[in-house]
Amino acid sequence: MRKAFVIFAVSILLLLISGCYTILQHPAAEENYDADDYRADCLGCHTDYHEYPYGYFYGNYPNFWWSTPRWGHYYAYPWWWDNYWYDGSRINSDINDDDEYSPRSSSGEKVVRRDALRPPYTMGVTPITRSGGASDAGSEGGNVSPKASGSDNQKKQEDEKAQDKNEKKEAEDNKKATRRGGGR
Amino acid sequence: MTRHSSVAVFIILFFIFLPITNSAQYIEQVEEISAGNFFGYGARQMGMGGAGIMAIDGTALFYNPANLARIPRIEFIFGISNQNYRDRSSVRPIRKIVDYGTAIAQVETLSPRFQGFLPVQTSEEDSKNNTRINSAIITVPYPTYRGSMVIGIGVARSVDFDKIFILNHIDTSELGDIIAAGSEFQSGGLYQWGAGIGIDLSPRIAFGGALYLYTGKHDYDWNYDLDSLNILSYTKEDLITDNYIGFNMKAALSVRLNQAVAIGMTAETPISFNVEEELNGYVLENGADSSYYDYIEYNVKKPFVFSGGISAQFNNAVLMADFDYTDWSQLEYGDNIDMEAYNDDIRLYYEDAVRFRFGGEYVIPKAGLSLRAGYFIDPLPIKSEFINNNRNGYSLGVGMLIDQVMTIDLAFVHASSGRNSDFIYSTEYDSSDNILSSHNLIIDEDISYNRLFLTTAYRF
Repeated sequence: MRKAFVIFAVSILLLLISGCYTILQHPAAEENYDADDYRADCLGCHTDYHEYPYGYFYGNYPNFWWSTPRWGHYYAYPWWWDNYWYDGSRINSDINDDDEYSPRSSSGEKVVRRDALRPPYTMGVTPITRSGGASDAGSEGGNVSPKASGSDNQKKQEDEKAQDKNEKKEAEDNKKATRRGGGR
Repeated sequence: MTRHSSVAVFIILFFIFLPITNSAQYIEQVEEISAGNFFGYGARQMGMGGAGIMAIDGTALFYNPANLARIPRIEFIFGISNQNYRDRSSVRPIRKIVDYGTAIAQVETLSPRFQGFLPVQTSEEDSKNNTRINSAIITVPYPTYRGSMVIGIGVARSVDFDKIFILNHIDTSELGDIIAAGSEFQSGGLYQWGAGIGIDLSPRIAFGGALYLYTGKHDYDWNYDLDSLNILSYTKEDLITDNYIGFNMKAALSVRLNQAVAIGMTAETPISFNVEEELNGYVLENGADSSYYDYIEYNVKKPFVFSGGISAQFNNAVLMADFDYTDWSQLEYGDNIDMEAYNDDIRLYYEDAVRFRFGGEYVIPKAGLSLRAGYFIDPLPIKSEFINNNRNGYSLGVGMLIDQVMTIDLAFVHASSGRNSDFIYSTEYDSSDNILSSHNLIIDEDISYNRLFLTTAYRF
């Protein structure tokens, strides 16, 4: 029994210190690395990010999690992505009604699927493409796909719009983002 | 001398001249109450026949710690259970004489029970209810950037000792009656205290481990009255209290094969129980009473348990199946030479068992409801000659999601089984206190239980 205990304890320790998949602390970013750089480079490491809309939970997302999001919230939404209770921008005030429940939607529209439960550190930012720009919110299929159409100007305008939006949001969300790992 | 007279003389001699200090015990004295009496925890799992290895909530701490990694929110889960346990016993119209004087005990089966006597009453039924705290578990996911790490601590009532048995048989003859009545009342259980962790090793693979401490108490009360032809009046009462403490650990894996199907497996190390047993007894025989007291300590080593489970999700429906394997013949007593002598009997009485549970859940999302049903086979861990029909049952359950933070689950479980055992009616000893022979009655028991589980969980 004593031997089994030692083997068990050592196994746990090895897993914890061997740099396994689970990461408790984000790898240190370079100094003078601003939030935009951060986002632009995210896909360097997180190429498969949007395959896992809850960030870490690889599994089946039943359709009813989307049509009645409180199920998804209960089973898959990490507590550290919640808004602070004292934050005035808290959206999920009516958590009793799936129809009213529209996480991450500030315009009153019901958000599209993948956007609904996106982690807060991308809040307000449309999904990042491999080219470093931003696409329309959503990405229904959940996969990251390079933006295939549109001229450079159009892209630039979109980027600028997105950036303005980001800056506004960042001002609001900076406190949260620090805690949740997205902003600086 | 008529035939009845000779029978009467035999009976009188039988009860007067043969010591009966050990009467009213089962031949399977080796029977270990902690073996094969898994109670179950978590109303969601119990509503699906007890299939819990791939169910995701705080009870994963005990079913499959790897699945702790699938809990994204701080959760507190609390459950209670209620059991109605029913036992109907019947004494067969035959008896066995066991001769222990040979190297291997020789058994001679005689029928009828006693010649010249007619059975008047052969069966009796009784039941008991118990309501217990079933589980209290808190799980805390540590904020991660990638993967998952969740810690759980809590307690669950894993083994149940709440049982009842009643014996009532009357044989009549021209000379009078032999009346025997016994009642056995057992209560208690083992609480399993656990601390565990679940960690994602990859997006699809989670590893878990948990340490468990077991504490519990078994109260055993046996009352037996025998009146034989108004010649022998015998009363016996035994009050036995066993205090259990033990520990073990479990390692577990959870693997998502694809978006819909996941499998899990666990290995649980042997539990080493330390048992302190205290006996208080009382005998009243033809007006002369005596009492006795004993205290012993010993160890019980429960063998490895290997478990596996699979779940498949089809939109609103989930199917789950579990099995676990335990070789109960490896059960062992230790640290007490008298108890170790029973280890050979354990190998003769116990055998390995595979438990199987199957269940499903259908979610009605808008209503916030989950409907569940399940079936399970939970074989008695004893050899087939002692089993009349093996233990199996079904379950039904319902769950509610309230707001996005709380669940309330209710499950009903019914199971039944049948077994037979020897009831030692009388024992003959030599001058050195060695058993020479015993006269045994064979008792059949039809056992059934209904269990209700109510569990509520709050996710912060």
